[in-house]
Amino acid sequence: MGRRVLVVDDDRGIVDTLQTILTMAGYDCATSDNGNDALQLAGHFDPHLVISDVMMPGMSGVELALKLRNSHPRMRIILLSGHANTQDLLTQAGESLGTVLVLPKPYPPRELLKLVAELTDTAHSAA
Amino acid sequence: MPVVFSAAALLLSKLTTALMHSPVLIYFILASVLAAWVSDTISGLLTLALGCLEASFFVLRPAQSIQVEHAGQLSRLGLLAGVALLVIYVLSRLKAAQQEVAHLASFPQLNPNPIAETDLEGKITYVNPVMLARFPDVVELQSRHPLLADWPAMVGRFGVAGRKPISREVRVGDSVIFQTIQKMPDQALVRFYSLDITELKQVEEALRESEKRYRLLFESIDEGFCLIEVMFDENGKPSDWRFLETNPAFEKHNGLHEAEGKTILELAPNIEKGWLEIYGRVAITGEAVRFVQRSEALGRWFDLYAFRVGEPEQRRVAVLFSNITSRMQTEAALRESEQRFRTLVENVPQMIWVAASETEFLYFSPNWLEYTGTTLEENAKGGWDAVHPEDLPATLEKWRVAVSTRKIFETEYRLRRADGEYRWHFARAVPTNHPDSNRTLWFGTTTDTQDQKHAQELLLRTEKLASVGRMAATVAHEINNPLAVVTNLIYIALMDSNLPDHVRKNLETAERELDRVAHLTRQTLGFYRENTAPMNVDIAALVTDVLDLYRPKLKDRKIRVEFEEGTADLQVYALAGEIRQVVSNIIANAIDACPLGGRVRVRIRRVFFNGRNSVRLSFADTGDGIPPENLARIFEPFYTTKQAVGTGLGLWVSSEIIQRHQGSIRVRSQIGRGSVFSIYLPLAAHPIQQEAA
Repeated sequence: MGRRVLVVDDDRGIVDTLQTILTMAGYDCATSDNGNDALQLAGHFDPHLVISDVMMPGMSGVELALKLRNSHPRMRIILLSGHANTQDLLTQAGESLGTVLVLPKPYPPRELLKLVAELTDTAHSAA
Repeated sequence: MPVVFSAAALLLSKLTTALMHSPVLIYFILASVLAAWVSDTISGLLTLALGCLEASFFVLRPAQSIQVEHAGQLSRLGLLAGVALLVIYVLSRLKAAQQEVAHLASFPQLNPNPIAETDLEGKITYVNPVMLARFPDVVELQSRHPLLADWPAMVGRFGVAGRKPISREVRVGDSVIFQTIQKMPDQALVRFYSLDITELKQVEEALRESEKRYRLLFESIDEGFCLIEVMFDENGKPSDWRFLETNPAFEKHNGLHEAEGKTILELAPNIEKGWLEIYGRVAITGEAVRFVQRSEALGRWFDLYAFRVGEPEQRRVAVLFSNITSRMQTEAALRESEQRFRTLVENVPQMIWVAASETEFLYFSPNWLEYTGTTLEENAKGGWDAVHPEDLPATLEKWRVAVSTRKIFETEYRLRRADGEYRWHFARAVPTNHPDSNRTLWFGTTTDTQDQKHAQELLLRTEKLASVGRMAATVAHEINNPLAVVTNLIYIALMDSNLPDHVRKNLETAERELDRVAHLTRQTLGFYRENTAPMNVDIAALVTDVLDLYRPKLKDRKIRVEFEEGTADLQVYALAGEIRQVVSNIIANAIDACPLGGRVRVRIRRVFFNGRNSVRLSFADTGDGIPPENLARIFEPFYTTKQAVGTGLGLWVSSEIIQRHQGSIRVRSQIGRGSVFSIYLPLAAHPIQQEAA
């Protein structure tokens, strides 16, 4: 069984390239271009890891992360942000997001894959 | 005389027995008494003696009469002797009368006052020399002379036997003459003595005038006035006083109605003992006192002057007084108002000062003295010593011009605080004319504008940043997304194992260049904040946050962090995002400089820097250090030593940010031992209390 990763971003190019990279690396990848769909998809697809953009129309990445933390406590989350203030947004959200990892965008794919491997492993060994 | 008496006694002893039952004796005795009464005693006795002889010879029988031989001869002898005696007596009386007349006549002649005599018709019969000298026209004018005014009526008042002198005053010209008019006894003439009493009259008039004036003053003065008699008890202590006299204003001042004749205890039984003591002392010692005193019993304040009058034993005191209750109330109100004003002046945050001229300063509020750490005396010439030397010439010139033109003085200068820190102040003084003293006083305020100035600068920056920031956010988003896509695409391309070597090389170069662009956008556009307003920022908490961000990287490179937070709760008034950006850049540099397994030491200290209370953040790495020739250039834009990944913007942006916050960034470095970056930032003037966790 492959590890499942859900990629959420309103930028088509990001979603497509990340899907390619993850699929090439052997992950089972699903995508969504907004937070609401992603939330639904997470229910059926049950990903080990969600990689999401922060600034999206409708539900923001931070909001999505907070909701997923409630519904799927063991699900790992990476936020990719083009802004340095994401950490502040999380602090303002007033929640310890613990395992939520905030990475600047762009982030080197090689490094990203290392983190993905690490996080999907711990996600399921813990399960 | 004894002969006469003994003879009379002999006659009487002889006759009494014979004449016991005869009424003749009564006649003789009556005659004697009459003679004595009309004339004198001698005459009475003589009459009695003669009577005895007459009775002896003419009334009695010879047997009963005095037994003398040749009685007839003797009786004639006796008769002769009696007549002779009478004649002698009458002559002596005449002589005496003549002497008296001469005496009376000579008296006017020498009298220093004018004397004249008239007959009963008013015709002048005599004037003495003084009269002639003083009133030469009296003889000529006769009864038409003012001295003889109403003469017939005057003389008529004497009647037939009038002896009693009459007195009157007549005016002759400007003189007042006092006349005593006397009808001379037994003479048909009237003598009048004149006395010039003009001066006396004037004195009297003056006295009367004075009395009138005193009365008028007494009646009309606004002050209350009274004459009192202080009463003492058996121990000699003053016990009460009686109002002997009061003026009309009296009641108006003390409210005592119809006080004359009454005592104070009757009028005001609760009168304070103190009043009795004061008046008692004045009455006894005679020392006048002036004093201000309140009487609760009368409910008034008085200003009084008390002094003794009359003889000491009369215990009389005159008191001149005014009701000054309203004045005292006004004064109290004034004092209260002054107190209010002073409280205000001493409690407003502004420093307040008053100047009377360019170089004469009268007042500095306590907070000025406290701020500058000086005394009032040291500030008498204006306290300019505390003004920053660079601002002083312009300030003094403005002050000189303002004083000479009497216009408002306004300026900004840096003022040295007692601890040496200079802070910006705004000074303003307004000239005010004082009609009472006819001089101009300058009322000045000096306001600490340091924080305001700082805040204004930050606000300006904030506004600029807000617009720049919004653009930066858009740009960052628009750049970072395509960058990410291209980065991913290159990675995907590189995954193709069939790639020719030159293509792979090109792709790898493209990947590196992209990495540089990504780094650049992060450093320059990454500090955008949604809410960019300056606020109090806890420096230690901010550094902790940033260090947390770098924890993965630090762990990756096995770099140890030593963090000394120093004094708790050091706050700076700043844009948190900007400061975070700076701290982030410096820490990133320190990590880059450190070898694998190196150490970064972060210290926070409270320091005094550039005349201000500040915080110092120092970041020391254990890298290779920066060569001296590079050290001077590291804050220049686009200067970098990290050829592959450096943008040359990190430290430049950082130093710009720190300067905007009125701080300073410095670096020390030693080749082979590492570098220390120090950031100085002024502490917030009004730190916000951190709530206890």
